[in-house]
Amino acid sequence: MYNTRVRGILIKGNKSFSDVSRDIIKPMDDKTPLWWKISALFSMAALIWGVWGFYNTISTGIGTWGLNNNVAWGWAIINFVWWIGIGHAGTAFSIFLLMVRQKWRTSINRAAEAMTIFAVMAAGMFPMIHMGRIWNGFFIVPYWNTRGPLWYNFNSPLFWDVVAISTYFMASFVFWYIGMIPDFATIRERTTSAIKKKIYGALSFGWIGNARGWLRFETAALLLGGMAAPLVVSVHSIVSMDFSVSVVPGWHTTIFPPYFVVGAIF
Amino acid sequence: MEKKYWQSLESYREMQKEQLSGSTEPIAEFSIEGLDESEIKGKSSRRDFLKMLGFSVSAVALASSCQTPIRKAIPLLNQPEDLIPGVPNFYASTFFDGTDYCSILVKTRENRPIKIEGNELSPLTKRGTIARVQASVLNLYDDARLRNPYKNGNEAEWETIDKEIIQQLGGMAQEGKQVVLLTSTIISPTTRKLISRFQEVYPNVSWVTYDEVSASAIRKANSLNFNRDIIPFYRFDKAKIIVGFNADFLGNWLLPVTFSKQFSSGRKLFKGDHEMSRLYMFESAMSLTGSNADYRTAIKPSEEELLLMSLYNEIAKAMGESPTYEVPKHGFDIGKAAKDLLNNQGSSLVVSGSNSTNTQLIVNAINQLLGNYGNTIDLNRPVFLKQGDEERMQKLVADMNGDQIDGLLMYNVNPAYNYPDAAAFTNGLEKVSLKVSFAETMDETALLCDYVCTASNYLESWDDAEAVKGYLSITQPALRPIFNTRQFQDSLLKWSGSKQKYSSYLEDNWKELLAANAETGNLNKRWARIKQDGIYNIGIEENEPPAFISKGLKTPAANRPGLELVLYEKISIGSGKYTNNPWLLEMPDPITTATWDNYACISPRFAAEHDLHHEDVVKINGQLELPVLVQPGQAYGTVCIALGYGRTAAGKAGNNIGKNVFGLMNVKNSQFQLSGQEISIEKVGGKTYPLALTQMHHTMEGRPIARETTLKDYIKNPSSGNEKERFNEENNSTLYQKVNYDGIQWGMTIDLTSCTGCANCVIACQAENNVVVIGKEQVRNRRIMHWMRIDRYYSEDFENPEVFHMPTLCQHCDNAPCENVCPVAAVTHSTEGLNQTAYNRCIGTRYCINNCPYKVRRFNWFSYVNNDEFDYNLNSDLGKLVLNPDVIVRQRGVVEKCTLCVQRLQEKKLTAKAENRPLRDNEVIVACQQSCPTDAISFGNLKNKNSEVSQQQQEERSYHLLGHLHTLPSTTYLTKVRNKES
Repeated sequence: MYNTRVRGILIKGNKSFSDVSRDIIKPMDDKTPLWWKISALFSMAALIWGVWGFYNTISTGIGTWGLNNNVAWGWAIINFVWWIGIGHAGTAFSIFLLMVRQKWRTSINRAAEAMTIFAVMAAGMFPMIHMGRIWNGFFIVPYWNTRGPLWYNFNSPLFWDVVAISTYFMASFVFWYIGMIPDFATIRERTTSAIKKKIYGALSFGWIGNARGWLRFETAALLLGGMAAPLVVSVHSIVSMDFSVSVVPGWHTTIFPPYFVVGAIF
Repeated sequence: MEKKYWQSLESYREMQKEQLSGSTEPIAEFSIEGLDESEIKGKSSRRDFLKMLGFSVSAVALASSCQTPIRKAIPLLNQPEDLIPGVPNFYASTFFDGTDYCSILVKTRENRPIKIEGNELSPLTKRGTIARVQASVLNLYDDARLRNPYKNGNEAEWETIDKEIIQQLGGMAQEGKQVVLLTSTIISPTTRKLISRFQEVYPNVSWVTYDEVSASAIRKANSLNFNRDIIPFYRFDKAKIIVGFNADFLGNWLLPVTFSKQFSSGRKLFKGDHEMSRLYMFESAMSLTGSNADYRTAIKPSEEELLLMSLYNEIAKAMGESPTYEVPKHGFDIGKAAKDLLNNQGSSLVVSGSNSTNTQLIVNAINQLLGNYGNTIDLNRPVFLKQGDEERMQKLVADMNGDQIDGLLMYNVNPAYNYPDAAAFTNGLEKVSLKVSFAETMDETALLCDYVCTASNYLESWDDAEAVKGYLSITQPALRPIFNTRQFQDSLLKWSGSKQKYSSYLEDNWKELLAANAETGNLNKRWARIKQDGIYNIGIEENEPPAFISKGLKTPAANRPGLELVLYEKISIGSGKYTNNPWLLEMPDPITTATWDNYACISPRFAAEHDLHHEDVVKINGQLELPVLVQPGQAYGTVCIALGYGRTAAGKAGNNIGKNVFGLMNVKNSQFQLSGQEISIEKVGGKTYPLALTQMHHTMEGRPIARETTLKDYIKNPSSGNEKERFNEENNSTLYQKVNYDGIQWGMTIDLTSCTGCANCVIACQAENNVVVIGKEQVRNRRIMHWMRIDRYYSEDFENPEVFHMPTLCQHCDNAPCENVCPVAAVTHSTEGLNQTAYNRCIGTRYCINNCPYKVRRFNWFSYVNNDEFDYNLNSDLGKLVLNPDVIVRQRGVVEKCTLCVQRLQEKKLTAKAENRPLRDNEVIVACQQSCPTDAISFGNLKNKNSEVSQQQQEERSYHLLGHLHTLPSTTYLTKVRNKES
């Protein structure tokens, strides 16, 4: 298996494709290991701490943070930019490597894409709790209302943000999901649990692994990748405009869009 | 069937029950074409069922989730003739708290006073106020106010108290025991008459007047020089050269509003004006007046007399007068001031705030040499403020300790807190058998009294006032007493056996006065007119100034090397009567910009030499621990501390803030002097105390903000110092169309030459616009909520800098950076040029705060209302009565800022519309402008080219703040002109 001329055998133990699939899916049907439970406990503790922080902010006010009347943006916005940057790294890995047809991307692309999705979700959370009145946060979403001409403000970079981030999230999510469809089908085939069979059956959209399916899969991935790639540039440029559009000394500078994009990828 | 509305689930159920039981009128049989029978008869169809289902589900959901608390408002059964809900009434009245005088208008809404304005008709205060006058309305709604009279610390009935006190007073009068009535200065002629009547009934009562900050030396010097025990009326408007020695006449000295009006009227520079007065200031601590001086010299208190003597010598020498006196050496050059004074004889003025008779004698001698009496000093119109007599006060305390006083009635004084030897007073008080206080709150002195005959607030009282001879004014109640209180005068009347109320006593007295002044016609009408105007002027004889009796001057002692103390009254809280007023406690000091505390100011050089830093704690005289504030302009070798802090029984906001320094008062020749005492300070190692300063809060990153020039350059080129503005105007270009306004474009101009930085506007704005108080910790967190702030900039010499005061508020830019960044369009531009915020649309992204180059936008970081963490006036039902009902109280999480008093604009616009006429210029007056004691702010329609504000914006001094950012503000500033040679 995978005996290359240059680097010798890549997968040891003389495993067939079937063996590899089985090995990968095995943890899903095994008993949950202790180390997993312990790390989940730590994660839960961190999550509860975070939820307490959010609760505190929302119930008492943004005053619980160290912001003031001349520095009105703080860690929430820093986190937002940082998480968007993290998300970009994932997209960059996965999509750019797909576009240049680097086969080795398959070893990391799922993790990288998942990182993008969750990073964007984390990023989206921070501007929300940063708002003084989160309960009115829906004002920022363009929806039909009875307020006449009072809608959102197209001039505001924050509105561009909302559009850019949601576009980015949706594109990344669809790309991520389509990549998972054949794998869901594999799990559907292999799993012993009837419930899992049902769930993965639904998630895999009836994938049967025929040639036509694979052909369309490849095309769809490439198309979506092609659409998502420019977002890496545009989304972070728009994020940078939150700062560069303002008149604040130090922020009001034209280098910000390329600086943010480059900063996100490296 | 008629439509029925319901407000809650209960009322909805009631309604349904009525329908089911058929208790409403029976529905008559009828038929209407086009309706089928089942619909008329009420038989349900499937559609009805679905309708009802949807309706009741949503009704239940609504009623159970979003029911707003029901607050019942009970309308008046009979509406009083003069009360229209929503329309304010104004009552002319007078503010006098024992120290400060101001003729005012009280704005009431639905019978509650909500705002104080200056009375335009007053020849003394001319629509001006100071911050304490503005804030005094909050004292009316202070939780610390007593709600009943007290006897031995328990609430009591007026009848019992009256009976017992009358009995005791009567007994003491028969036995000839000494009873003393101790009051603050009383400027009310009627109250003075009443007191003498009280003394007739009780001949054993003697009357002592006590001011915690005294000016008796001026009176004493005048009685020596002119045989008149008076404080003369100073005319700063007539003086071209003013030389002040530690006299903070723009801040706290005698009549700050009047003097500010006078001073600024001599320094207005509009088209064609080329003259302004010049102010020399010699002082130890940087005062408000000193910060506005053209030439300021920092001197030690012990050097004041030396300099005055040198000044006298120079002038006497130049005028060929003798004698001159020997002056010990000092390092100052007084020649320039002397030369200026000599060139302006008769139109100059030398004043000193010192309370030493010797010093005041020298001042009188200089003014006499310069011929200022009869010109800039009016002896015909004595000032009746500061009548306190420390000598008699000290004798009283000695007598009390010597068991000679049997009764002590105290009105508007708090010696247990502010007498220099408070322990002696309290010890003596214990030996007095009848101790009565007429306090409004349970203050330090009232706590020690047997009876507290709780006095009403001045807004609930009748009185009159004569601060300066011939200028009378009326105090009248704006509402009935909120609590079971009675004004001091009513108590005296009752105890002297009269059945009369003070209001009718006052009226009788005034009618006598009117008759004596040959007023003809219907006196009732005349009296009504006086109550409406609030003022009454009596012509006085304009006599030549009396002959000057030269008493000879004492050669002053040489200056001392030691560390000297200077005590001062803070611009915000004064000498301690307002220590429980959260507005004033949070008002940044115009000089130090500190809020909430008192501290020891020292000069930068002294600090460096003694390794002291900002917020280090020092021990004064080994007893008092105070934080250090390094204050440029403070004289080297002096420490200056504010009075009025360290109260223990002020109330929830003011208790135990800062330290009480009345004990450090300099008692010299039985005169209470604020400065000159030698003290020692030592650093308390390793201990610091946080101070809440605001100057660095709203930093504008060193851009060209403060612009100034000198009078000489201004005369040569009116736009000197303002060249950048021309450059901006010529180079401004934009892709966008300029906003065009049809009708009105509101604009404002602030004359920085006139502005003294007194911060009256800050409190006026706070009162008008329901600006919240957030407490020291949050001020330190740079979250102060004031819509108007006074920025203070220093320049030139670090040890003795020039000071620049700049009121900063929303500039209402035509091209506003805050507007385009709001994602939900909560910040918009009105068709009249206002930059407006829709609070209920704001979601609090705070982008506008970031993007405002002027840093005038404020975020509600917490819920500041009904929050025990912010236990100020908005956490009590009583305190909330001060809120202006025309202005919303902002919710947590929204951004707020100056609206240019949009409620006032709207009110006047509607008035004009109702009268079918265009708005007149200066018809709308915004809160900061209205009571400005220097008339530095003008406001109006920029579209009207003849309006005052348009004219001022045409001035060459006019500039836009940060104009190079192309924000196109509607507000402009006029450069500050200093009357300096270079």
